[in-house]
Amino acid sequence: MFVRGLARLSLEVLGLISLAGLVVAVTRGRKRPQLSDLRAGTVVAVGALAVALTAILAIHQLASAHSTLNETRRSVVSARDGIEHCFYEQGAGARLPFIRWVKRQIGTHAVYALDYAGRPDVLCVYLVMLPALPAAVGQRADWTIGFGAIPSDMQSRIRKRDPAVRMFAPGFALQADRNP
Amino acid sequence: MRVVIGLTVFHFVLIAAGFGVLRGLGLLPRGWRAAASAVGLAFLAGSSTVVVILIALLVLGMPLSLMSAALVSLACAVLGCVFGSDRVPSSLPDAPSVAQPTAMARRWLLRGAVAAMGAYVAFVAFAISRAPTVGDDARLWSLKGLTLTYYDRLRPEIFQSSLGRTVAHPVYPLFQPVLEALFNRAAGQPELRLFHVELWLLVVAAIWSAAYLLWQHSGRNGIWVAVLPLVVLTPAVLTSVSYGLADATGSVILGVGALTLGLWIDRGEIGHLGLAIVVLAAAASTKDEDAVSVAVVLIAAGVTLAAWHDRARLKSWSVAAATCALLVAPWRIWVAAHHLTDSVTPPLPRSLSPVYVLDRASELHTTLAAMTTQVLAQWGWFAAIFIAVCTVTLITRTARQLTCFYILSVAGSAASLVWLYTTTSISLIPLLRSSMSRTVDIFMALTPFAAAHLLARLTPLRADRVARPTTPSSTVVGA
Repeated sequence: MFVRGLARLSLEVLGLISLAGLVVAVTRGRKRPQLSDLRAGTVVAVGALAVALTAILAIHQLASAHSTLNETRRSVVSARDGIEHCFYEQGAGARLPFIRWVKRQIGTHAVYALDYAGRPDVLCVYLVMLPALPAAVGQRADWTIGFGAIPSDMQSRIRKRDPAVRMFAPGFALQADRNP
Repeated sequence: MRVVIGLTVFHFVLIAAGFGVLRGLGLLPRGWRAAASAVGLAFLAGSSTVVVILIALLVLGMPLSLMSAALVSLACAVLGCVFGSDRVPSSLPDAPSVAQPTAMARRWLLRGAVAAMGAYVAFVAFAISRAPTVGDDARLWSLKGLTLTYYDRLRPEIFQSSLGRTVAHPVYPLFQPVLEALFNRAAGQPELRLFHVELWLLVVAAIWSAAYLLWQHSGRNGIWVAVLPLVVLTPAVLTSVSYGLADATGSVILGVGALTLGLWIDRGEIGHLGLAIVVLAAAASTKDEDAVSVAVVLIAAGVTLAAWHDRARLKSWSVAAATCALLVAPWRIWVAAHHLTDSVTPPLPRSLSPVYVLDRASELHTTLAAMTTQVLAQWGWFAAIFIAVCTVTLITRTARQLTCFYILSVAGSAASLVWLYTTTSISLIPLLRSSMSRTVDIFMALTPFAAAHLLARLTPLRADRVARPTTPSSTVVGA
């Protein structure tokens, strides 16, 4: 792969310098070429290649349905969906209603502890939960979130029908640690 | 409406700061029309200066807010106006005479090309303005940017990995998160989708800046200019911007930094060196890989000057390199003080040993194969253009010092990336699959800027400009 890549690159370089030589040959005719002609020939050859590539790439990006640009244009989302999209990326869209419900319960700028299992990854959850922040090591959380996994302490409180714990669905619950 | 007004004012403030920086460096031409053509460069210079200063203030404990951004911008604008000076008007290339039919045709062709590019830029902005936040953007850049939007300090929960879990790349610098936080605050709400457009504008501003600098300071234009707009059509750049990643942004900023440093090597105007410091500091504050490449570019400049026995300018270079390091240092000191490490960082100092690197021949070959494949797949003809142009400049003995600087910069940046991959202690194949397609941007984005500069030097001066020096002879040191 490496050798093949180097071979292609070498051919491209040779092709460009040959194109510059062709420009010199066409412009100078039978006169003996000077170094300054090679300079000018290179400028014209590279410029012409750049113009051609610009046209080809522009046509591809604007006309091809599968171009990066057109695929991006089709992936239009709302502001909220834009932030929450990492859930859908990992097939965890079904868990979003729980997160939205939690955000309504705990309000902004709350500090939460996350007991977590399954998808999406934890960084995606942190992003969607903002401005609420995860509790740092040693910091006491205002809320504990059972996200796909209910900790044993929370399970026992659920069995005792503790009003501080609110169930959303099996495996998904919220526990008030400071403001029951 | 709040979003439109807020973002408009925000950009005007950054551009005003940029104009202040350019005037302070003596790079701003006199007259409204000339200044209007420098708006792209002003936006880039303003964003770079303001964000780099705000990162330092944030690390020192000053809250990040629109007020602090406005004060820093105001300081840049005022200091530039008070202590700066206009660029000497005679250095501006004359517009071609309207009376000449070829000049008229050239002018209309240029206007048509600029209009087409403007339409393309607007279409891309529209296309990416409602793209979702995904991948590394969600887990790294926007996570930090949104945290700084809601909280004006470096919250330990997100920035110091004090969760008992690893936050993605905790050591990565803050250029993009700080810019995103200011953008969201100016908009009055989190606008993560719209921030993709801001990244796009930075890329466009970088291309505009390069074209402007070469047009104004080389005094030559021609068909070679097409190398620059080709960057904004490159799939690698479009993908990076539409996914909200910092790779393309950091790389093109690095490209402009290298170009301004190249202009200083070529022409010796101290203003270019000043601009290079600011822009390179911004690039080094974008990604770790960019920071390594900034160091490589600065070292390449020093080596080139030393090889040409340019002692006078070596002093200026050492001051510039120290200033750049000073601007980048606050975040690095903060990272070291909080014992933050990155899993992909090679094991130091063991990985600096040539024996250790050579002992990993298999990893070296795998990395080189992946790099070559991605360079050709993502950046098409750019590598060939750069190599061909360098070959011709060396054969024709044109701007050899400049050519050596660019060759060292590109080769050094590529080599540093090879070293990073070859010596990393984590599994190489998944790392190459997930990142090599983006990290090659760092050195490949240097090539169009370098090629454009060298092509400008290869372009013969038109007969009507040969007799007229483009700058006062006292400021020209390089030949």
